[in-house]
This record gives sequence, C-alpha cells and structure tokens, in this order.
Amino acid sequence: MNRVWGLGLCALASTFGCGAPEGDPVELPGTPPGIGFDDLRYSPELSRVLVPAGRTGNLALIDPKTLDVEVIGGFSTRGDFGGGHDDGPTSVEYAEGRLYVTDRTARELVTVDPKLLSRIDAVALAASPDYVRYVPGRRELWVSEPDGSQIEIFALDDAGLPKSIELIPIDNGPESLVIDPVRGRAYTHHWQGSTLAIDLATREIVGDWPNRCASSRGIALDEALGFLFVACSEGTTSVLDVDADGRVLSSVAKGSGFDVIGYEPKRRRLYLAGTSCDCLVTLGVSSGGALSFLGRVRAPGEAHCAAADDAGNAWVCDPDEGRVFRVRDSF
Amino acid sequence: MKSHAAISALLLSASLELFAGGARAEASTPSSATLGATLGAALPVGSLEAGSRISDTTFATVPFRLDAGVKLDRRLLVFFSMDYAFGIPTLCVTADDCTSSLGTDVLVIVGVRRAFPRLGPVTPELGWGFGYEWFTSRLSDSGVESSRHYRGPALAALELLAHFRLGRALRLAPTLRAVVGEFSHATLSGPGGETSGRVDGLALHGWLSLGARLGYDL
Repeated sequence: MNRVWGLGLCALASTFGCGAPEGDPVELPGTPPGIGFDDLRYSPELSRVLVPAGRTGNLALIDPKTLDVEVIGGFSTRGDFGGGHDDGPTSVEYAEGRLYVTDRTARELVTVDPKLLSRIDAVALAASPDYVRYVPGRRELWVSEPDGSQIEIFALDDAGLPKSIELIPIDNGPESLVIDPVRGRAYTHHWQGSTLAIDLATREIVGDWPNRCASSRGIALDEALGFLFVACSEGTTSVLDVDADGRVLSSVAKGSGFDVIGYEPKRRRLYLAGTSCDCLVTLGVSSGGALSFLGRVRAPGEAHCAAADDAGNAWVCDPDEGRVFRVRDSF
Repeated sequence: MKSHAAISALLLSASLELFAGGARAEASTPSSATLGATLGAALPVGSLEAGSRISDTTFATVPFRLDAGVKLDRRLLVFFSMDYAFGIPTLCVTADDCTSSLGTDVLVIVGVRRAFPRLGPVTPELGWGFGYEWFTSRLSDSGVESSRHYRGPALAALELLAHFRLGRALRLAPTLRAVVGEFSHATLSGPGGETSGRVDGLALHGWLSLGARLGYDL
C-alpha cells in the first residue's frame, strides 16, 4: 500500500515538475545569489566546459571528468541577481589558443590567455553583445548584437587581438549565431519565424528560411551533414537542410522554454533545456535528419541553456542557484 | 483507438445496467430531460505524447460545458456533454501575445449519471462516461504563430455533482470532474509548414476540473 502511495506521489510530483534536478551539480565561486547564464560551451581543444558566469565577473573552466573549476576573473561584476542575463561575461569562444569573451556590462570583447588564466586585451563593442563566434578560414570573430540589430565583425591581427571592421545589419534579429566554415556561411535567426544564412565573404544574406518557430531561440549545426538545428521558445525543434535552401527535414515538440542548445555530432545528440518545463530533453538525429525523442529528465528551474561535451554528458545551467549540472546521457 | 471505444461502450452498458438495477426498484416516474451549463477551471496532468507534458504549454484551462440528458427513471440519466475550454498559455510575454496564444480544448462525453438519495438540501449525483477530445496549444509572438494540435479518445470521465434545488426545475451544483485520455494524432504547425501524423509515443493525460453547473429539468 505504501508503495502504491509512493508511486502516486512520484507521478504527481513529476506531473507538476517538482523534485531534484538530475545530474552532478558544480558550484561556482561568487554564489549565492544566482547567475544570469547565457552562452554555455565545450572546448575540445581545452577539454573544458566554458561557463561565462555573468554577474560574478568570472569565466569558469570546468574539467568535465573531475568537475574541478578554474576561474578567470576581472570581468564586470554585480552583487545582486534579479533574473535575466544582462551582466558581466555572457558568451565565450575559443580560437587560436585564446579565449574571446563578451562582457555585457562593460560592452567589451575581451581577449584571454587560457594558460595564464588572465586577460590580455579588451576592445569596445558597438552595441550590447549576445554571442561571439570564430570564423576559422577568415580569422574573424562575429559578435551578434541584437540591441543594435546587427552583427559586428572583428578581424584578428597577428597577435590574435580583435579589431572591429564591419557591421552587418539584421532586421528583427540577430538571435543566436553559428558559423558554417564548410559552406562559408553564418546562420542566425529572426526573432520570429525564420532563420537567415549569411555569406561569410560577401556579408550578404543569401537565405531567409521559415523555421517553424513563433519565437526563434537556439541554434546548432552539424557541419558534416548540413543539418541546422533550430529550437523555438515554444518547444518546437526542427532540422533545416542547409544544402537544400533550408528545407525542414523534421520537427518535434517536446518541452518548452528553450534557448541555448547543445549538440554532440559524434553521437548525433541534441540537448535542450527549458525554463517552462524545468526539463532537459534529449533528441537523437538520424543520418537523414529525422529527430527522435530519447528522453527527458528534470532540470533546474529557469534552466534555459544546455551544452554537450565529447564524453557523453550534457551540461545544464542553473541560474537561480548559480551553478551548472553535468548530466550523463543514459539514453 | 477502436479497442478503447469498444471497451468504453461495454463499460457504459454495464454501468447502465448496474446503475439502473438500483433505480428501477425505487421508483418509476415518467422520463424527462435535463439541460445544464457549467463554468469551471481545469488543471492538466500527464502528457500529450511521450516527452511532451500538457503543462509545458498550458497552465490550466477554463472550460464552459453544455450538457443534455434524458432521464430513464427517477434516478438514472443518459447524458451528452460538450466542453469548450480556453487554454491559459505557459509562455507568452505581452498581453496581446498572451491573448493571441490562448489554446483550446474541446471535449465531448457520453455517459450515465445516477442520482443518490438526498442528503439534507443536497442531491448527490455520480456520472461516468467516455468520449473524444481535441486539444490545441499555441504561441503567438508579434503576430507569428505556431501551434500543437492533438486529438484522441477520452477514455474515462468521472464526475460528481451536488445539486441544490433553486426552484421547481432549476438546480445549482458544484461539480468535480476527472477525465483521463490518450491522444492518438498530432499536428505541429508553424511558419513554413506543418507535420502531422500519429503521436510520437502514446501517453495518458488528464484534466481535473472544478465548476458550477446550472441545471434545468424539463
């Protein structure tokens, strides 16, 4: 009888989304209060999960095996946390032996030496930054700046220091950013309804593809297969074929409140964390681009960012508690 | 789905027999009919399909129900009801978007209700039935809309009513209703097209609703 009651309570708890988040928590320095996370990355070159830790003024580097945390400080700080992700470092990219970090408060693009764990240089941004991404063949950094409705392009000099060289206007965007060096394109979203393809050389918009989203949010790319993954805030995830003018190959609706998504190309796993579902959804991707639901586990409340490492783990942010979770992909 | 309908029909006829057994012995008044309108609030439980909970997109619904019943005798009634519910969206930012993002849930139920002896001013009534359901959740963002549509059998609906007589034919009743269903088909639509077909993994869902019914005996 107790077992029956237990099962009933568990079912009720899972229905209403209470219970402990799945995974191993990694506490970050400078908390509490919480942290307004946004971008969450894994660097295979450094074998570290890169966590721009917002108002703490730190960039945290986490060893995915030991969960040891190294911290690079010196970014803008703020003592309190009221939700959102508008303070301090919020996006990061590894390139050419350096880390490039956007500081939203200072409105700067900061160059960091990951070996010395120290800042090297900082340049001003034209508008508040969202994401920074590296364009390998061209030695450029592209920074999305939604408040300015533009992407700012920086060229790297011989010392690896960025210099602003151009702005690309993006009406009603840009939201999210991913670089496709194979096809010489960048992809970003309009806030609603479509995804843009931008030629890396000419800076021209060469595609405007309906993406099934009312509210476009997350983006990820399988370069080899030409699959562009689009996650909508309302919970729809779609695969667009970038070699077929953005044709939608597959769509599923699981969870909701997605923002930053993670993709692991070797296992073809897509990880989506949602604020509205308090969940981490794992999707599989077939070689033909069909999405399949693999599983769903409890994630921290307000979790809106996910990443994937190359050891079979998903990573999920926990803004309210100012920590991240390593979640073993058991599906 | 056919098996669900067959099982539900069998259960309905069995309950008709069961309910009627007691009622026949009590009285044999001429058959008459009843009409009712119910306004309530319902909370969702369970999933639309595997990995997709109703609460991901819909916080609650506000159902408006019309029902009509034919009395087989003094205590037993066969009824048909139809709910039209507005779904309150989990996601939306501006008031305009939230209004545009209201979902819907349409539920038709056929079943039987049996009245029990009066307890003071209250006449309790217990109902059971089955039916079919069409559910839609949507999100509108600055005029751009995406939606999820699901449909499938309502496997069982159980309701409890407590009637207070307001006049010779008018009755007011608080109602408690639980519905369990299983969607079989889904359509996902958004800018650029839609995907339609059988659901990606069957799952049970339910609605637990409280309401107030105004009834009229014909």
